[in-house]
Amino acid sequence: MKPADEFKKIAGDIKLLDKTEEREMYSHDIGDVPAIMTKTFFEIQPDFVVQPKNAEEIKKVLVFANDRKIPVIPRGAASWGFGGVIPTNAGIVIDLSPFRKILYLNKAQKTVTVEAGARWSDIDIMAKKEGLCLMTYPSSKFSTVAGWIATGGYGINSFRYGHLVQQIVSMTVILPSGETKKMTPTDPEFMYFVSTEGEFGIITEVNLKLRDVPEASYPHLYYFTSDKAAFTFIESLVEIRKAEALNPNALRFLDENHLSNINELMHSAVFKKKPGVLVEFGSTEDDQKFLGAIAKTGDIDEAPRYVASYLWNERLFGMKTKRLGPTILASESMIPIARTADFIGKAKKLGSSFGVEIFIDCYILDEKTVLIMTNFLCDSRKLKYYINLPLTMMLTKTAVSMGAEPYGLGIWNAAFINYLYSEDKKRVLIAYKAKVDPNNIMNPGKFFGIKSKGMNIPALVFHPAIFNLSMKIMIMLSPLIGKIATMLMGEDKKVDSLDFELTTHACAKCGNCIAVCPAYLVTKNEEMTAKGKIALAKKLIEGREVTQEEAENAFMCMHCRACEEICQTNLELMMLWDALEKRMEGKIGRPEEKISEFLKKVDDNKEYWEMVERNN
Amino acid sequence: MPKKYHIHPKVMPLDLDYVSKFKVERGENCINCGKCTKVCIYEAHKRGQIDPRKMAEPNTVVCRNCFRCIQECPRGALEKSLGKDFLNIGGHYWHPDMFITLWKQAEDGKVPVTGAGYRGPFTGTGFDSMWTDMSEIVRPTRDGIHGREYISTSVELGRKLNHLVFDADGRLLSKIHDTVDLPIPIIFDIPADNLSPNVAVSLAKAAAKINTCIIMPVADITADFKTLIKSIIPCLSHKDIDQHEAILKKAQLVAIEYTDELLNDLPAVKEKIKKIGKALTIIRVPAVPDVETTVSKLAHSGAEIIHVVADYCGMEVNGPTSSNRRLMKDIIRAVHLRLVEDRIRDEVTLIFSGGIAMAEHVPKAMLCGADLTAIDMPLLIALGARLYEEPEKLLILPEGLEKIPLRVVIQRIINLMGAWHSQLLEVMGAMGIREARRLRGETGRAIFFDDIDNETFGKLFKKEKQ
Repeated sequence: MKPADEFKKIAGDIKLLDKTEEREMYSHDIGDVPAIMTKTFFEIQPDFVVQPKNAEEIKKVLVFANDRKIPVIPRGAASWGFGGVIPTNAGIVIDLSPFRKILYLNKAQKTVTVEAGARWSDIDIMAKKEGLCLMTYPSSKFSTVAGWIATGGYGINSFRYGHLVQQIVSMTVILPSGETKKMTPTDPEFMYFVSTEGEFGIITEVNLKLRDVPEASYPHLYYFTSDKAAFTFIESLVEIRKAEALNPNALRFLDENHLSNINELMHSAVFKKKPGVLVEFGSTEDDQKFLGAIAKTGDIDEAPRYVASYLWNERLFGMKTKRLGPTILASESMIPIARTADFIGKAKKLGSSFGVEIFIDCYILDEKTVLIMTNFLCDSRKLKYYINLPLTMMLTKTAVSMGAEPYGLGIWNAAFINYLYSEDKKRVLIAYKAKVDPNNIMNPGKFFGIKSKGMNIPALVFHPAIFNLSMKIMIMLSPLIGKIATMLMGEDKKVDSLDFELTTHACAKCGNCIAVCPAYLVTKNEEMTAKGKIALAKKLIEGREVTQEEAENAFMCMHCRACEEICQTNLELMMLWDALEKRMEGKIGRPEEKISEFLKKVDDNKEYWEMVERNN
Repeated sequence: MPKKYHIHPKVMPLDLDYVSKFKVERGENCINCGKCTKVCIYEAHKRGQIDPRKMAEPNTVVCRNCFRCIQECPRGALEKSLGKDFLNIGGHYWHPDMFITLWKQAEDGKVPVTGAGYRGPFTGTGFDSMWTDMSEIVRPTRDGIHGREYISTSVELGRKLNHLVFDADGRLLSKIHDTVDLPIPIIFDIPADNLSPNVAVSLAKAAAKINTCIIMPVADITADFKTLIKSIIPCLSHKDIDQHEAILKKAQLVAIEYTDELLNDLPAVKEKIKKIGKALTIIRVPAVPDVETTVSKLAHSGAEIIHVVADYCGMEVNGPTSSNRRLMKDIIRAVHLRLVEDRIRDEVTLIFSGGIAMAEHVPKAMLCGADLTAIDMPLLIALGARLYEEPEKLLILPEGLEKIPLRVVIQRIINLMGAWHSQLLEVMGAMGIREARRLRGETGRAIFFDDIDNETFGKLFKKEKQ
């Protein structure tokens, strides 16, 4: 008997998804890894997906999985691209994304208690009504709380408020055995559940610190003649921060390529073609203090206030550049400030060998470290993409060999584990894993080491020793490999305008749309969201078979435009839906009855009306 | 006690191109959440018929301006503004609001409310500068309409005696004149030329249904009107009386156009009509300057009923300059007072028409001194007509009016009169007057803004001018 059928017997009213097309939705994340790479080596389709409503249901799933020794993959908004939520050997995906209630806001203590799937954006909106707001948040603000805890934890305002851990008052975790533990950061076990990608248990509830809403926003953008000069400035700023009592919320570096990409998106020359440093303050006092300190440094090239404000306000839409792609590939790591400029130089050189233009986005994390994203645009539909993919790993390899740490492991970075954890630390982690998860059901086949089906070739490829050596060789040979590839397959040119097909590829799969989609809120079905419908459109374009139900799902839409408004890549989604519905109507007719049933369901849903009012 | 006079309204919508006061517009930022469909109790907001996931365009016609949808829309996507068509309609006298009110009254016979309270202005020109007495508004005035209180709105048309004469034996010597009783102080005046036959017939039928009369040019009275002749007042020149004997024979009332020569021939003309049938004679006088002198002369010559006709905005006709023309309110008062001075007021019946646009104009005209009123434009507006004052008077009847069933047209007129009758009862109830004929000339039951303005501030400001 299939695991899904077995589970159904004990499931009670746990929501379970096991149709092929549903399982397919849960076999990807934001990353654009070609199916041929994933499907050949891994069993990426889960056996089934559950959408638990409470901790009891999660426990039930864990007990079942332990019994059968089936993998369990916790999943949030899936807006991270290293394969952390992709099953490697089927199993059960626990979709925590609908498990998203904001439970309690304590105005006096300035804390909020939320369920694992709560969206950062929703918390912020709700808290602001009480005069409070988030301290730090990820650049994908529409992702889930537990998702960010389980992955990086660094984001906007981390420079001032530090790593996310420092804002957690307590959190509740369910261990693989089904045991519930509420822990605070002082508990020795606490650290096992931060940035460990669901290897040790499932976070169910979090109590977070909030802060008062800042007075205002004072962003400044400074231009520099070179990356080096910019980082010299950053270093000096970091140095005088304590002495001068400066309080910038965020400190960010963007290279000239990044700024000119934004120019290109706006079809105007707003930014200079120079590297820039963006600093943001939350009060007049802080701003004045900073301006006083800056005045001492002498001549500095500052962009007009509106330009800085624009850049600051765009901080949540980092994937916008994907419009020019339609694919964006990235390597992310945490590198010492002192080495950053050098690394950028190397990365760009490496990129140019492969005929791509590297653009950089950095958040300064503290006195020593920079979270750096080296990105480049390419086209996943082209053959050259298979050369572009390992380039991201070469970039990471270059970074780690300069003293960086990988920013998360997942599948694709698992080979860099030794750069993230020392031997001792790794041993401790493995020991804890053996203790709490003896059957290795939690998110297996990644993080600690790749395990695939069949011959386990990826395990060999991604074995740290072999992988790092091969990367080293590839980097060494890059002028040659890259040039040949570029010569044969051409450079990656930027896209100017998007047709429907390109639109489907330009989708970043970031999941912002899921957070705001009323149809998803009510039905908990990703197929009805923009992300799901784009997957359907892709299927159509590729000429694959579409089931009656999939076709019907395309109509379950309130036409509220929330997805279009929130879309990172500014896709013209409403136009796409009209076209998609027309195509579907040609195939199956208009499912009038289903539509009115759907409308009734939405109309009767309390949470829907809360969502409508919240966005007021 | 006789049975109460009551007009029975029936909801009778007309699918015509209405002009609405406000235009509710749905912005691009509408999220189709459907909140508006829940908060609107008039069903102005609905989901689309073709695609129910999207909201339909707001149906402004049913909107009663409560502004709830505007306030409750989570996106602020709804906007309400004064309609351009609305602002263009009518003119200085025929205020656009009047059309909305009349349309609504004709639709269901109810008195419409106009949203979130009336915020003024509280005075204006003409009838708007009169405030009727409300001192008795201490009980539910609905009593007058449906309840136990008996308020009579009926009026009597005809010549009355100044006094009675008895002989030595106490026998009555005076001959009591015939009169015509109407249950409401309103008759219909033929409002325009070239009315389509079905509209003219409907107006006559509606008049018959509510037991009032309609004035019609004698030439228009075709065979179609044969059964309705009791409710029709043929209007003609005194020279044509002989030609139309057949019609005059059956009529209760006859309207004769005033000419200067008629003044001398009046007794003869009256006699002539009396000989044909039993009809009473109405002399139709245009409201020229100094019309009161003409009316006085007519009254002295034995006229029974005198109908003073102002223009469609209630203004004097053939006046010297437009700015100096008197308004209906002042014309009525002047005529009434002249007859009172002549001690002949009680002997004649005075009808006034022109510019009677709203229900309250009827009791106001009566307080000024009219026995009853005649209405014209509101009858057509009830059928969806639009009127423009600028650059010149233009009446536009809705397209396709001739195809609308008689039943609908008749009922809309009845509805309109029902609403007016109810309002008349309300006003009378509030004044504590139970007999419409007692309203006549009761200026003490109204406050004239000009008068109190003079009384209060006149001393202060007038002296300076001198």
